Amino acid sequence: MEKKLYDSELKVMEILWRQGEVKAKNIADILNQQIGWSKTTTYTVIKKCIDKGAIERREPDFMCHVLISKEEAQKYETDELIEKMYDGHPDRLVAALIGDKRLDKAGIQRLKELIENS
Amino acid sequence: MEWILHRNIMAGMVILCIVTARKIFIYRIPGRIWLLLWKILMVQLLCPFTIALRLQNADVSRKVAGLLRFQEKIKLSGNEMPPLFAGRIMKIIWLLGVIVIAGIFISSHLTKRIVYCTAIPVKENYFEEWRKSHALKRTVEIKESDRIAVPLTYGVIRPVILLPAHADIRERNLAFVLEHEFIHIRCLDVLLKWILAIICSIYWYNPLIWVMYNLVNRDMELSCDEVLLKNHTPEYRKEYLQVLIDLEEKRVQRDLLCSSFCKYPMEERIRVMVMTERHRFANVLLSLSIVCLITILSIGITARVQRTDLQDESATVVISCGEEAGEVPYIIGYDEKKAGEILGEQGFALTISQAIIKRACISCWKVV
Repeated sequence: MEKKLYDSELKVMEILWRQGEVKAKNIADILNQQIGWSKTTTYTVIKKCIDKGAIERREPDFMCHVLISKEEAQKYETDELIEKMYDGHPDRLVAALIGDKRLDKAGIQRLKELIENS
Repeated sequence: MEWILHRNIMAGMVILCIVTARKIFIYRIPGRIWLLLWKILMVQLLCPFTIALRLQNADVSRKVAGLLRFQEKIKLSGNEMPPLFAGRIMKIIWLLGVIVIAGIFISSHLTKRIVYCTAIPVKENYFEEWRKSHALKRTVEIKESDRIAVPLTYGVIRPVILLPAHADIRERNLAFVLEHEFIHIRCLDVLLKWILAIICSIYWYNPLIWVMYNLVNRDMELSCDEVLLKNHTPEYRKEYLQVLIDLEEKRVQRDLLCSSFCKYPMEERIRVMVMTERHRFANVLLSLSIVCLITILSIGITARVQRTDLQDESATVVISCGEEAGEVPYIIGYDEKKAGEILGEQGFALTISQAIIKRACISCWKVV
């Protein structure tokens, strides 16, 4: 997958990441309840995901099979963030997170262990 | 089809009047008045009837009659257009133009709508409270989308305010943005844009219509700014101006049928807000006179003045159902018996609604 996933597409992907293979119809029903999208809208978004290579359509019944894992999508977003906002330096992102006080002690501990083990 | 061509001469005159007046008086007359003038004109442009006014030469109506007869002279000279314009080919070209322009409006809007539909409703309490304090008969939905750069609103029956997701704008300027879009919704500006699109599709060949198109959109924003700032302090105005200047940088793609927060010439809006002199008696008088003038001129678009030989007191309005000779005019009057006498055997008196329905049926039949 080379293109960025928009918020709308992420909504569809989240359902698939949570529940595995789901019928397109069921995705439409869930999203209709959650955020009020019409069937057409959901199908349009699913089609966009298929075009971007994030979902695969399987017959019968228009089963949606996810092609990228959540981790891969997260990595893509993070890479883009680091490139765009931190000039390609991941340490600046981490510094920002620490400085922002977003990481609690436990989080910092986990980071330390990750660094030591890598 | 001839009536469409005839109207253009009058419509062009009215548009030029409004444009000139606007250039001169833009800082003295509020945006709502300009919008009102455009609406008066638009009603006339959409009206498929020709109203024939029979006016007595009484003191009161003499000037009005004079003005309308002057317009009538211009129109009659327009009647002497070469037969080319009445030809079939012209009608086909016109129809093709209508289809193309309407097609552009509709397709451009639909493609954007598909994107707007993928927006996600906002959930924060702030919006719930805002919605409660801004209740309308129609439900207003607020959604966010990461596909737009600037807030906008669309939908007439079920209006939706669309906010850009993940943007700076949401934190600082939310109150102003919501207020601004809410005013657009309340004033039915989106509907006005649709009507404007219809008018531009029908009169596409008249270049002045496109001038009108541009100005109506600008005046809608001016009017909205005005309503927003109406009862607020100068500090509020300063903050609002700051919001507009900040947003000036974010340009959205052209969408012809949505109200967008800051698409139209920002400089003019800011100037008007800063330089308008408010509530002076002279300005009010000015506004009133311009509205009267434009109303009378606009009536010239649909009205044809007939010479009156009538001695009776009551003014009657004749709706003539066609330019072609031999068509029977319908008279609506205060006194139907009198109206019947006037027409004699040529026609018969109807109520206004009967005449309108009859006229609409005749138009449809002709098109078919």
